[in-house]
Amino acid sequence: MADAVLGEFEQLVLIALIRLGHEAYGVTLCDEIAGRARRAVSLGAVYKTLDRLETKGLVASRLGEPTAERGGRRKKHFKVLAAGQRALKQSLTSLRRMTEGLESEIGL
Amino acid sequence: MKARPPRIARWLAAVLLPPSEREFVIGDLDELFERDAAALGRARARVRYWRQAFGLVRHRIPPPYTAASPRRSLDMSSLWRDVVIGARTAWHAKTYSAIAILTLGLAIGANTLLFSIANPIVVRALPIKDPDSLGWIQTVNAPRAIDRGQISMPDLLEFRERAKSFSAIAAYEVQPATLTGHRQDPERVTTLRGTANVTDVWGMKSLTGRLFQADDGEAGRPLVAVLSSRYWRERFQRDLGVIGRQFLLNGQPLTVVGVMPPEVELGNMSLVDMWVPEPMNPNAPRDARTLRAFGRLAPGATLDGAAAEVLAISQQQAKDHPESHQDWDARVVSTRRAMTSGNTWLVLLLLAIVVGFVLLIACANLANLVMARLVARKVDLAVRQALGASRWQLVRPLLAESTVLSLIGGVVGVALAYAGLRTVNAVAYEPFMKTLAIDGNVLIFAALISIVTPLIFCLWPAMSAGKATSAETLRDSRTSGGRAGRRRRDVLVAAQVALALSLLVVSTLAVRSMLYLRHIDTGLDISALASFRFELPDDRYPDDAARARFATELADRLGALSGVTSVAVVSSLPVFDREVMRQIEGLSLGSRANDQPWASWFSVTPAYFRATGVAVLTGRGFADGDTDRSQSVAIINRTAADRYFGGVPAAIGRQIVLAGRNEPKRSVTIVGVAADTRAPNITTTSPQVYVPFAQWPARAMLALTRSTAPDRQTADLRAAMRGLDATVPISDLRTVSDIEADENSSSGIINGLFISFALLALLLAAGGLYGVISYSVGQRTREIGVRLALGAAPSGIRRLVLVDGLKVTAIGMAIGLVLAVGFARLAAPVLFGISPSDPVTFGAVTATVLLVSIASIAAPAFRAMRTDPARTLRAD
Repeated sequence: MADAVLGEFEQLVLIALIRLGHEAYGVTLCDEIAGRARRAVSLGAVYKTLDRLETKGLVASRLGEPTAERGGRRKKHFKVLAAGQRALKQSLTSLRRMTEGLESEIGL
Repeated sequence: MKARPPRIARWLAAVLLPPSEREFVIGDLDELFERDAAALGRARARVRYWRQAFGLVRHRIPPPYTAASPRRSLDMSSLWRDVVIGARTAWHAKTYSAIAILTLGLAIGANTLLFSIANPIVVRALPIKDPDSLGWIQTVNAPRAIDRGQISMPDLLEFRERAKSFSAIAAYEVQPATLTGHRQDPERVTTLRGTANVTDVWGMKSLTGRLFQADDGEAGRPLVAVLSSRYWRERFQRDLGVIGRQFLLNGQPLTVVGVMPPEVELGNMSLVDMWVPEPMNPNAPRDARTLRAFGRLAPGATLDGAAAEVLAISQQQAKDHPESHQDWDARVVSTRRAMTSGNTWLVLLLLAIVVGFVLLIACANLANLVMARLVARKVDLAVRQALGASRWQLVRPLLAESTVLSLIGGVVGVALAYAGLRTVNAVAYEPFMKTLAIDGNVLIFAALISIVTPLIFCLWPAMSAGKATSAETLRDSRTSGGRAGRRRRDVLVAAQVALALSLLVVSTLAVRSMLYLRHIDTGLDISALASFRFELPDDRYPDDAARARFATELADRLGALSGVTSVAVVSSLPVFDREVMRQIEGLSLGSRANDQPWASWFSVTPAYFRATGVAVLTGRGFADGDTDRSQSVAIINRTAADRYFGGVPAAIGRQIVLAGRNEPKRSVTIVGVAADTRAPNITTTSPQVYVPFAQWPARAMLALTRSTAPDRQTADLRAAMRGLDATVPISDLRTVSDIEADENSSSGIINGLFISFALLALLLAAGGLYGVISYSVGQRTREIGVRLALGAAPSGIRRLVLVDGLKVTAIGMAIGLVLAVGFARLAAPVLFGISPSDPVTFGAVTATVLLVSIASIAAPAFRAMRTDPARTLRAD
């Protein structure tokens, strides 16, 4: 099966998921993307993307245990599946190939 | 304190999110909020919470018109889906939604505002047990134009004894009094003096303590008082310990026994500070008509029966006591009629019609918009119909969307009404207007019209949408609405113009009438006058001589203040105070023998005429030499001279006998004729008689000072009064201009309502006209393009559009004028100084509507003129 093609924001979410590992859930994902990609991200956008990625079979989610913080409300944790890893790899590879040799021109 | 996330946003998120996602998403939201609150402060955190919640919810609403699951028409889930789809559609058509919400908000707001004013008068239950079985006894005196008169104590006792239609009759009057023993300074209070059964007949329960008992008010019983709950709250901070305390009321000891329920504080009742029993004095004068009487109907008795019985008794009284009962009749009216004057009802009715029209105009606007949108989706609808959708299924999403918009409009409307009410509260002087608020009734009303309104404005377009036959529409998909659609739009526009014109006419008439009343020359020059009231206690000022001395001394002291140019002491303030009547005897009126002469009576010090600017036309004014030892003199006004003496010169030197209650008749010589001042209703002038204060000293009086800066003088006036006698409380210390402004505040509010509702209607109608003409120009772009391509002059195109628009406007205006004539005739009883068919008003309003219409049509007409034929033809 051909791997899914990723949108730009999907890439950001997947990378953030890998960076955060077990810590990945709505708020930390927002923070991570906001902190590294320097852009304002809304919870709504993040969840919408995660939904889509889950439907495509690229990420999986589970509800955490209730804790004392946030009024006992559970968090929804996400992790990247193998298919997600592959899709990200392919996406980034094509990006790298496309930009090869153009670093100075693009101003990277 | 720890910051709490905004509850509404969180609730909305919880409701709109699927249950499976609720927990962790709200957890995330709360977590973010807590962090934001710590870092950015509560306000910004709340804003961000709202934004995040909104973002989350927005993505969750399904796109519009997803394929509906087949044939499940009315279960909750599909209803809910319709609402969600409606919200979604509304969100996508942002401009339309904004216009719809604003239009609905303004119209619903206007209706809600008026309802919250009418609510306590019309809807809220009276604090009276079974008000329908109460009858109010009123006296009528046609020659004196008294329509809702009161009765005297001996008459009351007679009615009690003889009227079998009533199981009990009670009465009360409202009087000012002096309360001492509570505070440092004696205090002026408003007392309601009621018969012992007054609270019983009304069926009231005390808030705390007791109300009146059967023997309260009987001679020899200790005097008791029941505080109004407002007075108890304001002066005693709801202290239960006040019950049993003793005070002095007009120098007499009295004991507080209870507190009235707050519900009675309606209308004038809200002014009452305490309720005290009325002494039952059978020897009180028969013409001292000061009591408002009402009775509980006996079982089986009717209001009409009671009225007939009361009339018979009053006719007997007229035979027994002709001197005090000539021209007086008594009647019985229902509680509602007794509580609100006919004019209040009429003004409310007029305002209700006006806001109703505003709502209809708003509906017409929206109906036009909805029709335009349906036309745009005509093909879509036709396809759905061809695929088997029922008419109801086609209309339902439209109705759902409109309901969503209307409910949001309702919220906006309630907010606007709230703002309007706050303004009314702030401007008002009457306690009634001050206490207006949005209560449950008002919210229910707003919710009801929010739900009903979309039905009104969807009905028309929906019928046309349902009727469109698919085949025809599919074939003819390019052109707009067709001829039938255009006819429908034209009808709506004409209706809007008609409604707007008619309500503008009646509002203008009402406003002009009130302006007329306000600018009437009352005869009193109030510009630099200040006044205050006080009452001399009997124990310190036991006789007329002491009172007269006090008045003279007060006038001297006040006159010595810097800036004060003249000082008068008067028994009551002309134009503003209720008139005190005296019978005039010793006059033969020839053919008008039945017309018992009377005059409104004022006891004034000599400087009165100088201080108030009331001119003495002939003869002389009063002088310091007019004392109790000199000849008794009087000055009458021009109206009295004309009516009773056949002209001003003939009155001078004549002797008349003045008969008042509680005092012997006195003969006086007329020494002068003064200019008229208006009666308190402003529209009429009573015959008046002035007498020198030194000859007729009053217990309760009013000091009037004319000075260079009346508003800055109040402290001086108070100090001067205190220097003379610190134990006499003064009240109402303010400029007469302020008194007038307060008197006018209610009519000002009603004026404001008329003006703002009428302007709103004009604005909405203009918007509707503009919208419809622009739309039809837009729809006819192709036709106009063809015309231009074939050589039509652009100015001809402009004329075409203008004439089309004006035709519709003209029809609307013609209908509107007919409506306006009927409407104005209805309003006639509350119009003063202006004819209901006033040509200036009709002309000006018609011109205004015409100008606004032309302005609304002009912009699209010019746009049509500049149509580029090449482009429009290529577009096909």
